[in-house]
Amino acid sequence: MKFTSDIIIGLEVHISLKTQSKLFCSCKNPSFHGKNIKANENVCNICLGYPGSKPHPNKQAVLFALKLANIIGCQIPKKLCFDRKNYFYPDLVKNFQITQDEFPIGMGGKIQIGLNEFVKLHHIHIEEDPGSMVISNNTCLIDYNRSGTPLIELVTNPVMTKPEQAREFLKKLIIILEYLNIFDRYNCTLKADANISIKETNYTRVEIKNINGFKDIEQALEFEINRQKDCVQNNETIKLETRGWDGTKTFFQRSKEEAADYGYYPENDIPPIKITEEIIKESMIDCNKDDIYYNKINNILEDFDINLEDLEIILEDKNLGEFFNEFLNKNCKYENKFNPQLVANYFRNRIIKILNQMEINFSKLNFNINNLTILIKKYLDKIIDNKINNLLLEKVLSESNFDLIKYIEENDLEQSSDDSFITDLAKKAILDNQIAVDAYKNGDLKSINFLVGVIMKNSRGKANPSTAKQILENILNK
Amino acid sequence: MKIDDNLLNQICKNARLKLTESENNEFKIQLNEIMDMFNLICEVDTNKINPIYHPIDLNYELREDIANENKVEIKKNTIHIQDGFFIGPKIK
Amino acid sequence: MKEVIQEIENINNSFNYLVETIPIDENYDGDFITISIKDAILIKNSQARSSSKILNNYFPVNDSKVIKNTKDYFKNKNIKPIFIGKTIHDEFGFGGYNVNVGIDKKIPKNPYDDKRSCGGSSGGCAGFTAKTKFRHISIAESTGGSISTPASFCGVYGLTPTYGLISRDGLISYANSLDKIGIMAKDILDIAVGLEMIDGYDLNDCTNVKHENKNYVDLLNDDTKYKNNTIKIGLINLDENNQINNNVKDKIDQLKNNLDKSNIKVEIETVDISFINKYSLPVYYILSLSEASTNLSKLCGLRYGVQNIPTNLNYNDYFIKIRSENFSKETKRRIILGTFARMASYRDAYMNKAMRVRKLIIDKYLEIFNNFDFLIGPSTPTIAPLIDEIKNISPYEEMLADTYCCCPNLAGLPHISIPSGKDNNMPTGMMIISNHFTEDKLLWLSNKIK
Repeated sequence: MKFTSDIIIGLEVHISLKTQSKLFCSCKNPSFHGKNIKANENVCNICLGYPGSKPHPNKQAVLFALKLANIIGCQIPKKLCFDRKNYFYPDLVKNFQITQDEFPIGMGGKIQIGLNEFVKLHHIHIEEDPGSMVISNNTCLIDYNRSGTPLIELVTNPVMTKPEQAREFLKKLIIILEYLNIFDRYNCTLKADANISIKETNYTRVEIKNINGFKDIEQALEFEINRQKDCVQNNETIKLETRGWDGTKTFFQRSKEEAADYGYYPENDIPPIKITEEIIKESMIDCNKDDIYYNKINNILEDFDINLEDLEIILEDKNLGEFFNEFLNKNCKYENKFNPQLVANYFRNRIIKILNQMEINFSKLNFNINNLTILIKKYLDKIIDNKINNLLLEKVLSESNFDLIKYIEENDLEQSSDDSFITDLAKKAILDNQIAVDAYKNGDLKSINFLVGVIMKNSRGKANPSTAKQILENILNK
Repeated sequence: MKIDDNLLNQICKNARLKLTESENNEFKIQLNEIMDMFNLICEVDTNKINPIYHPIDLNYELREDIANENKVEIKKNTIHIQDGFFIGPKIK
Repeated sequence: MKEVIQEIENINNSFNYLVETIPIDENYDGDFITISIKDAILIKNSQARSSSKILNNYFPVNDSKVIKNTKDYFKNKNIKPIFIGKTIHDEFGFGGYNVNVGIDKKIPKNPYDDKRSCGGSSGGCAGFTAKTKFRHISIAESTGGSISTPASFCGVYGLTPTYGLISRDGLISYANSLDKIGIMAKDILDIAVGLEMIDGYDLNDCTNVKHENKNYVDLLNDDTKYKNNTIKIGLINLDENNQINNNVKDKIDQLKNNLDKSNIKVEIETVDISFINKYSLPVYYILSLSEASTNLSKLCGLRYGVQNIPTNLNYNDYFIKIRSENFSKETKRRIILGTFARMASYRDAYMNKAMRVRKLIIDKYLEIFNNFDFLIGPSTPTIAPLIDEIKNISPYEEMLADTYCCCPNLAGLPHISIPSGKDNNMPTGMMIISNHFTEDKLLWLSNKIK
């Protein structure tokens, strides 16, 4: 096989679905209800694999998988089939995992990671999660609360060529899954195994298992590339092997010869059933093409001139993106009132920044959305400045009964951007502060801030500082 | 098709079984006698026949996604519990 | 009830039919029917070991569906079901003579001759049913003949229903596409009662077919469906001279007489099932052992059953030790063969091929049932062998006990073994097979043989 890149990367990503119950039993799904406090308090005879128990597949998990398969362009098989993947490990209660081997729920498909950039998939399939283990020197402690959680595994083709591309892939994948309402980054899990081969080793493939999250994936891949290059320089051979990642380095786990023969067998407690037109329709019931991340971005770009990176960030949260889109349509289209890029700046630099500080996501907030609309308009109209905006924005987002208008009135927070009012103040400030003026004219541009400060003081905070600065500049630069 | 020492070894490894020497010798003969019976099916023409998984057509209803408070007394079946975790052997 | 309790103790001391007894209220005074349960079927508060040492002290958290159905069935009836114990069988169902019991268990003895085998794998069910003098129904299970063979050897009735009729929830699996829970009893009426009591659609078992329960007891004596048609019977498994054996012949004559008395016409002819006979055994074993080998993977000394913690061994060595020390030889052989048939290099030739030949076998049966209502022949090729002789035969030869029974089992067809007189003072059985989901017909015909 001829490779055209120096680095070849493929990923196998496991994501958990946010169904209410587990994949094969009615125990609560921790990816929906949150992690349990006590170990083994959310288990039953099925997800503990007690002899005699029989699995019963969760309809919602299948619907979520079909929705994803449809949206990313997979070919869906005629039947829903499950297989047993046999291997022995203490976290796997039956010593086989119920997965899909022969007929995965979606063949092919692709994930869009940029305006014109796609990563092609080999396939996606449904499988159950094992339990979780704490490993110590002499023993392991096992908790099966997670055992039986529904997962989708996405296997990419070996088409990525840079570690940062792998990172982008995972980042964009999370957004897509959240847009489809089948995943939630706070309670659900995402883990990746990476396959990497580099030119220097003649493209010998090494697998790195169990990488959590998109920041780690770039680090792990970069580490491994450097490690392999070092080995080649030291005349050490790289063999086909599987390695682990501990957060700082990769380490040997097993060689290819030691790989298990999984002895796949059809899961005969779950006979194959037809995937009907009805169930495919049902899976798409709350979904349409406009709900797709890059489609939404494209739609906005068609009508408004906004920086792509800003859009990608603002639309990461589906609800914030919708609010943004609505705001643009109402306030930037016909009246051409606000500059859409300035609106984007507000969303990215003010709203998202404060959400990150509050460590909360937009969709989880409970607040009056009208308040936010009003606040944004006042900011863009320059009736309030940055400092006042930050104060008010926090209150708007965190206090559900906050009365914005009343608060502004009671505290006399509105400023003026009235040209003549501020021009008078500017002229006075220039007259009274010749040293600062000279400094500015001599190249010390920061001196203007002193003059802005004077204006603010003399206006008792009523002058909008950015307007004041603009007017000062106009006068001084004449 | 015969099962020889190598293959028997490999199968036992996969199945997490260790045979004693006498079991090994005994089994090789017994298993190969059974293999002769297995090999009979090679002569059947199954061209254009699809494999079946069950003897009759089956169709089940997928389970509605409703979560229950399932409580299992794990202590009923094991004493090897520490802080609610199952205790298992070392991994390395 | 004191008599019942005493009888159970006496029988068990001599014959080893029960691995576990269930406490009985000795003060109960009303009508009752005692019920024994094959050990592989779960009932709460009783160990379920599938007759294996590795599952010692495994206590199920739920009743199996058939037990739930049975408890419900008797709720508004005047008769009380008394569960008396779990019966011994070949470990995990692996055997046709019930000599492959778990390494710490005793082989059950044939009720007619304690030096002979009970037949397997449900030997304990058949033996106890034959020996008890009280009204008794045994809930048994068949994968490749495990109801017919012991029923035949012990002189009782044994019904194996259609695959998918009775829920498998709570049955410790041998082979998921072959296991069927069924009934043993001393007469046809109790077979019908037994079938009614375990029947009941189970939403939670994906292999259970949605259906309404039939009134098998009422249908036993209902001739209406058959009055205007001719019943067509095909004879199978004839002897070397192409004759039906004498025991079967006697029963067929009885049947003909009774049908005649009821004015029902019958046609009898021999049927060629040589293809089915030749390939059923290898297909059955390849598929059942493949399934069994994965079903048994979960038995590794963690969470339930035999456990040996703390241990200095790493997890793989620990699993190897527990499994190698607690499985019987037959279990190990079967796991080895089943694991082999699934391995990447061999699965096409064995696992996959067997699944295709199975389709051909079933198609042949369905073709036959286009022209016949029932197939009749002997249940087993021989009478119950001496236990000592079985020790001298190879595992392959032991598998041959299933020669006749594995065929309908592979095809999931309902079949019943009916006592058909003695041969050398030992019971013989006659097997009747009918098409899928025609248990009512099967029982009706069996009721006409008296």
